[in-house]
Amino acid sequence: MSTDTSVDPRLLEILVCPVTKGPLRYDRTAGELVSEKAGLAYPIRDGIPIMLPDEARKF
Amino acid sequence: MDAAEYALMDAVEDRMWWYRALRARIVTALEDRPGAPGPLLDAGCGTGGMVAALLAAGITRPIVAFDYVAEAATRARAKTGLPIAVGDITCQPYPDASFGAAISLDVLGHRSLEPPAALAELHRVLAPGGTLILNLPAFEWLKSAHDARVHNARRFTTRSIRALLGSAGFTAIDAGYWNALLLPLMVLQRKVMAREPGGASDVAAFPPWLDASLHGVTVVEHWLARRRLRYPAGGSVLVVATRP
Repeated sequence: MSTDTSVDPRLLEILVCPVTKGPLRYDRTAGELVSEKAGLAYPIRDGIPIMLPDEARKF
Repeated sequence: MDAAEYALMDAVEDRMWWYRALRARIVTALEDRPGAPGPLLDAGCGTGGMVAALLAAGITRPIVAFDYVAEAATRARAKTGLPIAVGDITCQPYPDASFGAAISLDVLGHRSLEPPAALAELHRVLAPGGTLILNLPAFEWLKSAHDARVHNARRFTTRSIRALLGSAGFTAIDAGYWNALLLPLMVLQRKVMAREPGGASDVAAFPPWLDASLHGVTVVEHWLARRRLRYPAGGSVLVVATRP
């Protein structure tokens, strides 16, 4: 698996949390899209955001 | 689907008659019913062949696409140059009313999802006046080893998909069978020459002469369909509906 955790700005514009449909915060350092409301961080793998709640990190 | 099936799909989808016929149908359907202003969503884009075909056909609206499987999304991004996400059609990562049209091709039969949940989400992300286009495998009795290989759990009739779309709040539902002229060959391959459950995929690089012949049949069928000829049966169901 590549460690490319950057993400296309066009995706950042349109993506929301699939659970809450609320906004996401792009954590560039962790390579995650963070949904504060859901307490979920969606990983970015090989430049592709994995918007699946089951694969997200819970916090 | 397994990784080998994606590699196969990625390799042959630009040539194989079935995919070429499907793309021609979708391009025509979108021309006829473009829906509301706004981007087009490909929900379950696979390895990206449909998106690439729409770009090649000169579509001007922005395209957004996702697939449930990371390997497919990676291949789709390489094929189209578009940003692709991994997502679940029953739990989509987009705001309400984001899209003017959505296509979802041979996704709703997948064993991992419930069609009503998928249709509810498609309804949510479509703007009022938006068009939904679905392609679905037809008839339970056509089920074969290929369904198992691509993890297809159910096949549809025009009646069953009309009912599902109506319950989900869609209107102006136009559902018809296609691949009708090739249905006898499909029955022959799937039922008479039935293979063991672990049998090979129906997706394959056909010999060029055979691919050209089969494609020719689909072109004739499409031409007749555009003149409002309705087929009583076929290998697939193509549905166009409006999110009011």
